[in-house]
Amino acid sequence: MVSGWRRIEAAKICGLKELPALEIKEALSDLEVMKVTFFDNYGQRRFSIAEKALAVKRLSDFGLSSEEIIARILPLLELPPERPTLDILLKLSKLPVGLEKIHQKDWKLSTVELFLNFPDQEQLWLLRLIENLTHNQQKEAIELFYCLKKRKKKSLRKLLEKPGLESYQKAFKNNRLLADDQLLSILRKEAYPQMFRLNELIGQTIKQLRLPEKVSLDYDRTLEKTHLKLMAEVRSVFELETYLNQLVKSFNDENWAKLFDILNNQGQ
Amino acid sequence: MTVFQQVKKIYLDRKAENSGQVNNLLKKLPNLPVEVVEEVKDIQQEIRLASDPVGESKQLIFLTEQKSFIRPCPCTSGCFGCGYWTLDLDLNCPFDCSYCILQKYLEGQPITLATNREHLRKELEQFFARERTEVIRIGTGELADSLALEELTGNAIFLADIFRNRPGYLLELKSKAASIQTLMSITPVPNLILSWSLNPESVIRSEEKGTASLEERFQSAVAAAKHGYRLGFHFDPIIHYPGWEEDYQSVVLRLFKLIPEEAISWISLGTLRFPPDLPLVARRRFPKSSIYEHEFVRSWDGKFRYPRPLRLRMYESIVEMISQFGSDKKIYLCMESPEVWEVITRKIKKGRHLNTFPFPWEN
Ligand code: SF4
Repeated sequence: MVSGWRRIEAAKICGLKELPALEIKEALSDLEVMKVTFFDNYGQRRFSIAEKALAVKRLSDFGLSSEEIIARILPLLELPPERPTLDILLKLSKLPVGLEKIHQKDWKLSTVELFLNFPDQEQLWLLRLIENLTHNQQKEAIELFYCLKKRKKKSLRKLLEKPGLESYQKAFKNNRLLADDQLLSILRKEAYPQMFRLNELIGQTIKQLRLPEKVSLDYDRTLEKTHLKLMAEVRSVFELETYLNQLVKSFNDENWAKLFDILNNQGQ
Repeated sequence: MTVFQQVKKIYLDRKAENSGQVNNLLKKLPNLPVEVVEEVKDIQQEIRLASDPVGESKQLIFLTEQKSFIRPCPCTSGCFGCGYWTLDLDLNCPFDCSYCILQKYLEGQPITLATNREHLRKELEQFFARERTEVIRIGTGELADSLALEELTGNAIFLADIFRNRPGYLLELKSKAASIQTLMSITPVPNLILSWSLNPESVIRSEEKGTASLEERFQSAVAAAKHGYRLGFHFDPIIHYPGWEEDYQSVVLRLFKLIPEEAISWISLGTLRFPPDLPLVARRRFPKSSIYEHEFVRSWDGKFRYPRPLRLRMYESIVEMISQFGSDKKIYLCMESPEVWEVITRKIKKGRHLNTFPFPWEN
């Protein structure tokens, strides 16, 4: 039996006595059996990148050439059919630990590639450090760590000596797990210092304006657009008039000018 | 060594076997294996087997016919466009810049040379026949470097000949090469603008593999200006790094020391920008480059750019440097938002005014 165990089980449960089958006359090589079973399963559910990596490794071990894997197997696995993809998958399949975690969080090929750039020891740390984060958070954390490491030319351990990250460093040393959203916000602040500072300043300035309760301001967080959006929840002309009057009165507040100055990049 | 000496093999499209330019091109590439293929996919399959498919694609030449050559410059949505047209005679480039979007955009397309440029002549005749109220700028440097393969193709002088006596059409040949020998052998064409991308030498060495040095580009520009060509310069992409300002200042100083101001038709500025899928391949191919590790924002068109306040500071600084030489009115921005244009335009208008080449977008 090359493939179809589960279908037989299901048929038995349904009380079927006979099933159509395809008899393969010639002897199948291990490689051919592997191909049939893998792709039979592949049709049933989505495979994670870790599973795809293991399958490719298996095919390669059974003697399928790189050329064939690249040209025929990778497109079936919906992966870019080129040598670098194969290299990444083979490297991933040989990961000493962590493959299961990567499978569970369903990493994408791009995250795997970035992750594999870290030295072995750092890969272990990183996996521990981001274990409790969601798929998207893990992706972001790896990108931020990669970027900061390269930008600051520091090892991961040195990066973690940054104020605010000492608790993570300690957790490492004591082999304890500690990871949450806080890690990401510290990393973001570190990776986007200019945007972080400006957004913080805008936030503070808006707060100082003491807007009427049901009125709020919004703006483009990337600061590409320079306009403010004013929003008000109103249920009547009276309410609208009241809020507008309150707003007009607040125009003397220098924080309005400050806000537009920051948005327009004047005096910064 | 000419840049096309890195070429390992030539592929010839069976449909183009009897095409006009094939013999000329093959004669200039003797001793190289030539294989006839049915379609480009056959070559792409081989390219994908290489450990560096992009690098491999730059070592293979594909001779084929192009269906059409002219299209409006794709700028990006939300950008304040400059009404440019592109003319794509070649695809891909023998140079290898770490920031080049072709690494992603061309997806394993070999260096592709059009063998049917006579067809382009016809297409251009139709293009010229359309009614125009404005000056048209058109260039070949969008999907390739305009001069990198000039010794091989002679496309620049072919185009120069077609554009001669077409004063309403400015043909721009944009390059990081120094190969202007063919253009020096003809009478200059007044509406042909030879332009060079400029970056500090340190950036050229680390990010623009295979290209001419800054000094070689300048010396070519000097020679071209002496011969009677008009020139363009592109500070693009401007890279931000510690000490960038002094480095760009030296480039500007050198530019105006060597090049007569009146020979310059335009100067464009554009800071580094890239689509989200570029860093992955570029980091793989250029592990020593750190241009992608800067602070960026994802801007209106999905591309990553330096934060607007930083871009503004960079533009303002370079505009200031250029305005010292009275050339600020020749500046335009490439792929920038109206918000940035607005500030920089104000700055330019406040600067020194010189009566220079009228841009179509100027009032
Ligand atoms: S010269 Fe231009 S086309 Fe060639 S690799 Fe550099 S950026 Fe790309």
